[in-house]
This record gives sequence, structure tokens and C-alpha cells, in this order.
Amino acid sequence: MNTVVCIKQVPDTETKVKVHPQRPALDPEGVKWVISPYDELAIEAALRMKEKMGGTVTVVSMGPQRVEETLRTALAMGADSAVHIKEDLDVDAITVARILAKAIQGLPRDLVLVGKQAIDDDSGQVGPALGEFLGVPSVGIATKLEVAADKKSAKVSRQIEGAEENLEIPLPAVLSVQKGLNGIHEPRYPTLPNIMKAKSKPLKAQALKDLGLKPEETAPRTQVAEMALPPPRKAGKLIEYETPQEAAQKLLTLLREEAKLLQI
Amino acid sequence: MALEAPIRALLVAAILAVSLSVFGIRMAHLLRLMWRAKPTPIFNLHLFPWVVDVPERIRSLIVYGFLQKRMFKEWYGGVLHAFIFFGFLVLFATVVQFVGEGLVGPDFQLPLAAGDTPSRLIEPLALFVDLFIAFVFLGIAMAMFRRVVIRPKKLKGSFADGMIVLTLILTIVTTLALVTAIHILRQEFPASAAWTPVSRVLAGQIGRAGWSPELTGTVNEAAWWGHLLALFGFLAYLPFSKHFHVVTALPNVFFRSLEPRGRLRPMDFTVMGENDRYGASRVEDLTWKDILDSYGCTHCGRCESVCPAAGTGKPLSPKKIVVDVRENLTASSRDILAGGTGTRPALIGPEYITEDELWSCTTCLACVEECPVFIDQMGKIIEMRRHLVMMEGKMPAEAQGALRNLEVNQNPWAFNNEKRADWTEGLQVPLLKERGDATQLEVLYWVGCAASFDERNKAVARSLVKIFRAAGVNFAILGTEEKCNGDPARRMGNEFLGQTLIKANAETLNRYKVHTVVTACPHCFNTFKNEYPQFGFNARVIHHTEYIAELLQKGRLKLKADGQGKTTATYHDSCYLGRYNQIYEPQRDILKSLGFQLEEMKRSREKGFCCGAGGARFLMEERLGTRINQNRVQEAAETGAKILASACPYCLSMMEDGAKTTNLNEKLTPKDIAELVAERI
Repeated sequence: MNTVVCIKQVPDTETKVKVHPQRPALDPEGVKWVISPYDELAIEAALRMKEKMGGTVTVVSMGPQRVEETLRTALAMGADSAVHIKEDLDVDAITVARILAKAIQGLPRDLVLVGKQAIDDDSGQVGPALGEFLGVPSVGIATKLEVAADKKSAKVSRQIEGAEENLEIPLPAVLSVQKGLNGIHEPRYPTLPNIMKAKSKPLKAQALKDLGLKPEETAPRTQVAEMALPPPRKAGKLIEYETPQEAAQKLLTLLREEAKLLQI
Repeated sequence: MALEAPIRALLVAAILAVSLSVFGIRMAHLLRLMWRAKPTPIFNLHLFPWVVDVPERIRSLIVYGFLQKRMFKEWYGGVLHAFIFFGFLVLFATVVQFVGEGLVGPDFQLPLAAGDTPSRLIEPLALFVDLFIAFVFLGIAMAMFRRVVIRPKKLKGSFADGMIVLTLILTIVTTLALVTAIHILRQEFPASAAWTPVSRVLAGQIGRAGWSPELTGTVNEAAWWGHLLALFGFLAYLPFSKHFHVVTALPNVFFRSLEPRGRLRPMDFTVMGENDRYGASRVEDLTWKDILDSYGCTHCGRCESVCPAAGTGKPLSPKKIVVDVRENLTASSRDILAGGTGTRPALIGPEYITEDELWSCTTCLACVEECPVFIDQMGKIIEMRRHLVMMEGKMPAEAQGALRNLEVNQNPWAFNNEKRADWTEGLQVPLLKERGDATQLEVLYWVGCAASFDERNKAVARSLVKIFRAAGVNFAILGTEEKCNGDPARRMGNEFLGQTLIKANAETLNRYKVHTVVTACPHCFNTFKNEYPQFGFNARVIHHTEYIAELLQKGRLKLKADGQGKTTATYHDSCYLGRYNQIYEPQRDILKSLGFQLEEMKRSREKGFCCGAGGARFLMEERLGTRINQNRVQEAAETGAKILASACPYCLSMMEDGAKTTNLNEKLTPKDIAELVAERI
């Protein structure tokens, strides 16, 4: 079972988000970068499949030099090789999928996994778009995956509103991974020997021109016009009271007169 | 009736030969296994401190080995053991006598018994032996009573072995008493009967019973052989038994670690290879001292009886850890001596030590403090955690989350390190980088993660700032340049991450020429004081309670009278201040100078009961057994105190949580000592 996992380097969830002073983008100054958590679960899913069925796991990511560290972390988790599309582009999800598809095409793959969404822009589009560009089926937000012994097909489940959808798909295919896929809630913790081994695993850096992509093909389809932090939340109001009745009365008054939420 | 002397000599020689060979072969085997284990710097011939250490080691051997200081922490076991131990030392003289009689002939006498000169020492020796026969009897009676009637939980699992040993000792002294009595009766005893008050009574009984000379002869002969057989049977049995401690306990005390208590062995990561192994998954991954520990354990269970995990229904027993090491060693010995490539039962697994046991440890050091022969239970647990975390990536999910937070945010929770100094808002706390370096400062206040990020503990940090200001202390903090001190990562077994943090902090502190560190966190305190010197940072490290006590004593800090009369308070000892660093008094002194009436809990000072947070347990859920913190808060409430004072952020959080969840928070208010002081400024 050969699996390709597309991963994205994102700011850590605890990052103090700042807008770039010159352009409508995140200011990378002082940001701690991590693998997007759903992508990490996708790596874990791929590694478990490899442990069960053999084969390889290749991780692919795009971004500046710093992305190499993220790829090394994936290799330390147990991936066999990595492809780094070394380009620092502010592009939309569809363009990212187009670039990734080109990079993936030559790789051994029975399956392509992505996280259901990256936790920075939360667009969730790379998975489905990747299926389109690769010309293979794609299933979004998968919660169960069972590959047939001949690796020609797979049974997949996905959550839909109030129900579960069970599908059978031919492979290769693209799957976007939801937390809890096959019971996976936590990615593994890289062991020291694997961190050491990761240092000598193949990590191939590629530029857009190496992929044979023309500039017009990678031109973004959307543009971020503006980026701003949400207005700071006002402090809550603490009701001081002696009895519960008094507290309820004060709350009612506030809801009526200040919040204007109650007409009665 | 008696055998011809040459035949007797031959038989005795045969018994001796068999017994000594069994003992010797087994000893050689056990020493070879020890040799296969890892080296330890505890006692390293290549290190200079070895020479410096020796007087201290001899002192400790006398105090803890021969005088059994730690045994008397528990009076019953201590007394019965002293009877048997000293009895055996004294009775050793009779071994020489019996062997001599056997090999040389019935006329053999100890050198000091020969002749009729007034300088003979035989009489006081006879008195000594005679008294100790009685003491050993008493000791055995107490021990048997405990094993058969009291049956304390801590002795579980060694009934058969214990009874075999006690029966052998009983046989040894009974036969000795019989032989002595018969000798007295026959007036063959070399000392006058006045010197043998105990055996004389037995002799009198036998005399009154009117035994025929033949019967007396037969009993004498039987007792004589019984004594010899029991004695040498005992010797041969020893190295197969838990009672091997007779041989190993004293060396174990001699070779004990003289380093600061609970200091972890730093691992060397300077050269790392893909096939290196870290931590212990096999017995021989432990050090030779760990193996000696396992030989020295008598299964007395004192460690188990003080262990907060064992005491609250968790699967861990420090005794079981040590016993399992020895049993796994026995099961693995063939493979170990064959080079260690074959199969054997796993040390960490369902048959021996489970992961749940390893993760239950709070590293409170109660077991290590309690062990009469200085076994290091905790060190073994950490070595096995090291294996689980660094080699297998196996740990509770919350522990993994905490390690990742430490990697990304340099604190164990998911807080951005940029927010580390947010608690200072409005206080204008000076940052060290604004001062250039620390040379002009009195102290660097090391805030620590808990006081930086935890709401409850931020109040302690603010109190301490108030105290510094009131006493005119010239201080600064590192702010966002501070990183976790490394303790939680190290105690979780991630030595690599722990050292990464330690080295980064040491670099920062040295760059700023920090000479004095004050911290309110005993975990930071212990790590800086006892572990950072191994990574190149040496400074005076003071816990905030020590510092406050000093400020009060020097008169730099003046307290207002509170005019409320005497309030009762109890103090909960932090393990990392108490057992790790033997700091028990400043906290109590401060409470007294604040005018509190101090009520001690049953378990206090070196017997203090952990809050449940140490060993990075504060980062993990407590899913097994009952809650340690509730157990402790209930104990605190039993003193009738209104204030539950503590001196550690994790103790404080644990006590807060324990008080709330047991509804004791209306009776008992948990406070850090700094808060109590700040209220009176």
C-alpha cells in the first residue's frame, strides 16, 4: 500500500496572530510552525496502513525553507520520503491543489490522504480539488477506511448531517481525513531513533519549474483583499447579588434594557 | 553414640563443601549478571570523588548499616529486626565453635576461651550469646506473629519465603540453646553457669525432666547436627531467597548514591546513532546498582506503605518494581549471559511491570526515603519511562500533548510563550533584559510556568512581588526569555527534550550572569539547585520560603499585626522541598512568625504525603484508584486547621482542587505561604 500524504505547515494554535504590516497576510514574525493537526492524523493513518499492509508513505508539502522542518517531523513519525515544493506563494486552495497534483503524479500511490482542512485558513478544498486534478475519486471528511486486500478498492465512511454515508471506491483515490478516522485521535510521538533516522531519509526539493508548471497555471484564482483582526471582545459584566432572586432580577433588567434581547 | 571424630570431620567438611559451593556458584552467577548491567557514576573507580566519598560511605555504613537507623522508623519491624540482626552478629562466634568442634574434635575451643588465665573473654561472650539467643527468639516470635496474625498488606507475596527463613533461624537458635543447655547440664560448658542466665533455665528444666544420659546424648547429637545443617542450609538457601539481603544489604548501603536526592542520571546525547537505545526495557539496561538494589530488597514493603500511588488504589507498588526487576533478571539470566539476543519475558509488559504502574509514580521519593537499605525505586521507574517515551513513543495522551506543548511553547500547557509575563500587567516588574545583566541585581525571580500561566498561581507571583517591594529587594524577571525548567519533560522520561530546555535556560542565565535565583516553585528550585550544575549553570538557588524567612529574620520585611487572634494552620510539605532538599523549617518558621497556631498533619516532614502532582502527574488525568489530593486534603482537615498552607504551585492547585471536590473548601482555605505573608504587609 503506497500512500502519499499532503501536509501543510501552519502556525501553532496558540500563536498570537498579527497581520503583516505590508500585505493582507499573516505576519510570520515570531510564529511557531507545526503540522496542521488533521494532516498529522492523515500521516498517522498512512503509517498504520503501512504497518498493516506494507508499502511506502511519501509526504508532500509546499512552502518556504522552514517547511523542511515540518517534513522532517513527518519523516521522524515514520514516513519514508518527502517532497518539498520549495516556493513561497500566497495562493488559493485550488492553485495549491493544482501544484500538489503535479508533484504527486510521478509518485507511487494507491491512495492520497490529506487532512480534512488546514487549521489556518480552514478552506477544506485541497482534498476534493486534488481528486479532480488527478482524475481520481475523492471522498471528503472520511471517518472509516478499509482497503481491500488487492488494493484495488476501499470501503469508506463519512459523516453527513445526522447520518453516516458508506461508500465503496476504486483506488487510487483521494481521501480527506477527519479526526477519529479508524479510531485515530492522536498522532504518534516521534521516537528518538526515528528522529535520528529521519535525518538521512530522502527529502527532495522541487521548484515550480521542475514540475513543468507555467506561471499562468499557478496564478491565483482569488485574491485576499484585506485582512484584519476581529474587534476585541468587551469585558463581561459581573452581577453582584445577595440572593438568587436578586441575581435573576438584575439579569432580566440587563437583558431587557442593555442587551435589548427581551421585549417582555 | 557420638560419631568417631574423623567421620564427623568428614561429614562436616562435606556439608560445608556443598553449602559453600551452592552459595559460591550462585553468588558468582548473580555477580556476573550485575556485571552485564550498565555502569553508574555512583561508584566509579575512574572518578576522583570515589576517594573523597569513602569516609562518607563508611559513616553511612555504620549509621544505616550496622546501627540500622532507618529500620527504627517503624518500631515493630525495627525492634524485631534488631533482635535478629544483632543476634546473628553475636551468634557468629558459635558458628566458628561448631565448625571447629566438627572438624577438629569435641575439645575444640574458641581461641579466647582457651586456658584458665583471668583474661579469658569466654564468660562475657557466653553471656552475650546467651542473651541474644533469647533476643532472637523474641524477634522471631514477633516476626511470625506479624506474618501469621497481623498480616500487614505490605508483606503480601512473600509468606512462604519468609516462613522458611524464620523456621530456619528458629531451628538455628533452638538447637543452639539445646546444645548449650546440655553442655551446662553435663558441666562441659567452658564458662560458669552464672554467665548463661537463659540456657541455665533450659538446663534446669531438662535436669528436672530427668532425661536419661542416653536421651541427653541423643538430643545433644541431634541438636548439634540440626544446628549445623540449618546454618549451612540457610547459607545455601540465601542467594535464592529474598533473604539474600543478609549478604547484599550492607554493600547496598555502602554503594548508595551520595548525590542530591532524586537527581536524575543525565543521559549523553552528544553522539547519537540510529541504533542507539535509550532508557530501560530490559533488566540489563539498568545499572549494576539497580541490580544490586534488587538483590538487597527483603520485600519488607515499607516503600509500598508510604507510596501515594499504592495508598490510593493505583497499580504501582515500589516494592513490586524492585521485586519484578529481580524476578525478570532470574527469568532472563540465561539470555543475558548468552549475549541478550534470544527471547525472554518482557520487563515492561503484563507479566512484570505494566505501563500503568510506571505512569502512576509521582516521583515523591517517599519510597526512597523510607527504604532502610537505600534502594532507588524511582530511578528505575524513570529509566523505564525513558524507554517508553523516547524509544516507543508510548505515554498517556495528555503526557504526549504536554510534551508537544513544551516543544512548541516551552510550557507544559497550550499557552503562547509570548504571554508568559502577562501576569505582571500593572505591576511594572522589571525585566532582566532591561537591566543589561544580573550583576547589579540581588536576585533573579524565576517565575516558572505555573505562576506565569495558571490563574490561581498568578496571585502567588503577585504576592511575591509585593514582598520583594516591601523588603526593598532589587530583583528582575526573565519574562518571555524564561522557558520551562525541564523537570516535567525529564520526569516524564523525555530526557532529550528536558536537556534541550535545560541547556537553553542555562545559556540564557549564564549570558545574563545570574548569580542568585529565587523561585516559588520547588520543581524549578530542585532542578536549578541539583540538576543544572550538571549542565553548566551554577548559582545560589533559593526557594521563596527560605528567602522570605531570611528577609524576616534580617528585619528587612516587617509584618503588620492582624489583630485576629490565633488562627490554626497546617503546612503541607512539598516533596521537592522536603524529601528532595531537606527543607522543612523555613515554612513553619514563617507561619509561626505570622502568628498561626501550627497543627501538624499525621504525615509531615520526611513522611509528608504527596499532593499527587509530581513526576509530571499534574499534566495527566488521575484515572486509576482514588484521588491523592482528596486523601491529603481530608488529612489536613482532620487537624482542624483553617488554613492549609503550602509552598509549591502544584501542591496549591492540587489542594484547591481537593478541597473543592470534597466540599472541604468552606472549612479549609489552601494558600501559598507568600500569599499569607503578603496579606500582612
